[in-house]
Amino acid sequence: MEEVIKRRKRFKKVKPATVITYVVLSMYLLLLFVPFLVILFTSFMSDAEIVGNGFHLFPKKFSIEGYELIFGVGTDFEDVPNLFLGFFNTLWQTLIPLVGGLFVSALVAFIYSKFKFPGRKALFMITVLTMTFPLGAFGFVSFLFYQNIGWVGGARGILPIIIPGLFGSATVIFFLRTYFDSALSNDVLESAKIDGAGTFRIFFTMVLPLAKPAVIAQFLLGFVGGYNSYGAALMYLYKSESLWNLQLTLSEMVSFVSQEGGGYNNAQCAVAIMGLLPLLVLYIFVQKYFIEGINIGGGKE
Amino acid sequence: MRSQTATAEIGVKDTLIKKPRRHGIRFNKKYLMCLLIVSIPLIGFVAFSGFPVILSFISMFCDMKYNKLDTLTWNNFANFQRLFSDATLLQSVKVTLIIASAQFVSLAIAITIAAFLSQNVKGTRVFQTLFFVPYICSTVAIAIMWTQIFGGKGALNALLGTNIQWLDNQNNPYTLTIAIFISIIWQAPGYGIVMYCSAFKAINPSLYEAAALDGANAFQKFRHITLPGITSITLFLVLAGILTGFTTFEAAQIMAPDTWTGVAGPDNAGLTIMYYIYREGVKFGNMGYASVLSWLLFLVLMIPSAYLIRKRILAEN
Repeated sequence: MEEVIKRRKRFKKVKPATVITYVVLSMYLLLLFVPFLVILFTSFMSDAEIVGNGFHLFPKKFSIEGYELIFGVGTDFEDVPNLFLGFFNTLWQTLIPLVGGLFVSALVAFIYSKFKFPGRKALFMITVLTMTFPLGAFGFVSFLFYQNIGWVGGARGILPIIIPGLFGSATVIFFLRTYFDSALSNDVLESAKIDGAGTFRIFFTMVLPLAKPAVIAQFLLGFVGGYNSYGAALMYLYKSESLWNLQLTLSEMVSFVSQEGGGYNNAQCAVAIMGLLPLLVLYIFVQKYFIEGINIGGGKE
Repeated sequence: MRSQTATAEIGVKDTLIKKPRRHGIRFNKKYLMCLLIVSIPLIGFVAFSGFPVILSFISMFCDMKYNKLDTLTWNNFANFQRLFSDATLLQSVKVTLIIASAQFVSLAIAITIAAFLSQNVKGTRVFQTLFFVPYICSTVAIAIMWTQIFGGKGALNALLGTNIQWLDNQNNPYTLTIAIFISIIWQAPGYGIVMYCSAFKAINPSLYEAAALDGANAFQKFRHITLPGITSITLFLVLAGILTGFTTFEAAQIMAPDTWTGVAGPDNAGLTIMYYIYREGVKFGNMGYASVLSWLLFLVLMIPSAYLIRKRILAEN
C-alpha cells in the first residue's frame, strides 16, 4: 500500500517532464517526416495543378500523372530510364558481392578464431591494420587502375563493382572473429570433430547457424549500403544504361525529367518516393535487426 | 585474446595424433588450407586497394594521355605547383569544412534526442524506430527530396513567402551550402541516436540513486555519471563523423546545379573536395591532379581513422 502511494506521488511529480519529453520527441518526428509528406503529396498532383497554383501541401485533385510519366506510360517520356531494371540491377549488384564477401569473411574469421597455424597472429594483425587506412579518399582515383586493367567501358564496368567485394572485408572479419571467440564453444566443436565432421561441414552446419544474429546484422547494413551506393555506378556504368543501378537511375531520371521543359515536379517527387519505398518496406519487417545490428556492430566500448 | 590457449587445438589435434611431429614447422594440408583461406582478404586488399593507391601515387608526378599508363611522362611537379595557385581548391576546402561540421550538429541532435528517449516514458521504442528511418534512406532520393523543397516553387518559399532559388542563388551562393548542410543533419542523427540510447541504457541506474542519496544535483549527476558513460561512444561518433563528413559526395553532386559562375552551384558553393576529385579525375580525365587531392585528403583523414581503429581494437581485447 505504501509502495503504491509512493509510486503515485512519484508519477505525479514526474508528469511535467513526461509532457516535455513527448512534446520534444513529437516535434522531432514532425521535422523528420514533414519533408517526406511534402514530396508524397506533391507526387500525387498533376503538373497542371502545380504550375497553376504554385506550391500547396494537399492535392486538390488526386492524380497519378507523375508516376505514369516516370514509368513511361503514355508518350510524353518515351526514353525514360527504367526503374524496374534499376531495381533489379541493384539487387544482383548488391547481393553477389555482399553474400560472397560475407561468406569469405565468416570463413576467415572462423579459421582465425578456432585454428592454430603458423603466422596466424601476424596475418590477423596485418588484416586488421588494413582497416586503418581511410581508403574512401581514393574512391575516384581507383578509376585509373581499373581502366588500365581493362575493367572500364561497356559491361566490363560491372567488374570493379562486383569483384573486390568478393574477397571479404577486414572490418567484418574482425567483428565476426570476436563474436566467434565468445559465442562458439570449443567443447561443442571438439565433440563434432570427434564425431567425424569435417571442417567445412562444421562451418556450414554449426558455425554459420550460430553466427546468425551477427551475420544478419552485417548483411542488413551491407544491403543498405549496396542499395544506396551511387558513386561507383556513376563512375563505371554511366555509359551502359542497361546496367544502371537504382540510385543512378533515380538521379538520371531527375535530370531527364527536369530537361523536359515544364519541370514536372510531380514526376520528380514520384522518383524520390519510388527510390525510398523498397527500403522502407524492408525496414518495416526487419527494423528490430537493424537496431540490434548497430548495437552489436558499432557500440564497442 | 582471451581464449587463445583453450581455443585452437581442434585444428591440429587429429593430425598430431595420427603422425608424430617432425622437426621444424610442418606444412601439412591443414596448415596450407588455413593459410590459403586467410590470405584471400589480403590478396583482395593488395589487388584492389594496394595497386590503385600505388598507381595514384605515381600519377601525381606524371602527365598521361587518356589515363594510359604507357604515356606516363615526368611533369616536374606541375600537379603540385597547381595546388598552390588553385582558388577552386580553397573554395572546396571551405565548403567541405562547412558541410563536415553538419556531422557535429548531428551528434548534438543525437545526444539530445537520445536523452529524451531514455526518460522512462511509454512509446520510446516506436519513436526510436521512426527516428532511424532517415538514416537508411538513399542519399540520392533524399537529395532529390530537398531539391524539391528548396526549389523555386518549393515548400520553403511557400512557407517563408519568398521567391528565392535557394540552390542557385546568385546573390548569396551559400544558401546552397546550407541546404546541403540541412539535408545531412536531417539524415545523419539516426545512427547516433541508437548508439547513445544503448549507452544510456548501459549506465547502472543505481549510480544515480546513490548520487541522489548523496544530494547530487542534476548537473553533478550528468557530469560524474552520464558523461563518463558516453565518452567513448562520443569519441567513436566524432571520428566516424569526420571520416563521413570529409568524404561527402552524393548530396553535393545531386543538389548543386551547373551554373555559369561555377560547376557546382554559383561560386562552387556545393563543391565538396570529393566532388572536386570526381570532376577533375573522372569527368575531365585529369587523374594526376585528382590523385594529389586524394592523397591530401587521405593524409588528413589518416589521423582520425588510425585513432578510431586503434581504439576499436584495444576495446575488443
